[in-house]
Amino acid sequence: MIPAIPPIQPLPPAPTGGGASAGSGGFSQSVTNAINQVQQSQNTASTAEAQAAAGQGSVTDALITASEASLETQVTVALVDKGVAAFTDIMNMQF
Amino acid sequence: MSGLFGTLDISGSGIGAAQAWLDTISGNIANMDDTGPTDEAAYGAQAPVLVPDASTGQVGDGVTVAAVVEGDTTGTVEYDPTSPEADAQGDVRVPDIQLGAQMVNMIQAQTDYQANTSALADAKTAYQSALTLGT
Repeated sequence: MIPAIPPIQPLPPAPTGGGASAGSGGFSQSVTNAINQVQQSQNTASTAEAQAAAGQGSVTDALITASEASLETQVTVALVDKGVAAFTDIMNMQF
Repeated sequence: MSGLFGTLDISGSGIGAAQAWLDTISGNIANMDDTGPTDEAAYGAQAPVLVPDASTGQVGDGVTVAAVVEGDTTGTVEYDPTSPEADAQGDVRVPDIQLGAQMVNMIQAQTDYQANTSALADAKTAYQSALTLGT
């Protein structure tokens, strides 16, 4: 006996824009991830500082984690500034 | 050492090791004048055993304190009949710790600490100068 013809599957949505939309989403995703990472290291630094202030843990550890959090913040801010500056340059292009 | 700023962690481990060394030296100096009965062991000078940190198995993992070992507990026998711990001959056992040697060790430990903090500060300056690239 001939089997029944299966119903036609709906087509997957067509990709739109190609690299441009993927690039813009990627930048915001990268910034979000970086800021989450910075938040995490600042939380670590806060914990270490609280422990050092309470007499547990070492002062050097607290200061080193604070330095790391500070440097990570600077790296993130520098990279975001560069990305936004590139975007602004494109937007200011004259035709 | 993993992480974006591994050098800071490496220098931090060096600072911790130097701190452990300073702690043992302070303990040795504090116990320098201990006395005890001659039939008991004296206080042995303590020293930390510093080994490379092999937690991740990579080069440049910093240093760690593997153990704190105790030195010779024989000490020296001194004549001190006024001590309540003196034996029938009036002898007590005191630790064989030389203050001069401990102070020289302390200078070394202090220099060790300062070298690690200096390396840490230089690494931080280097990281910050990398951020100025392209500006």
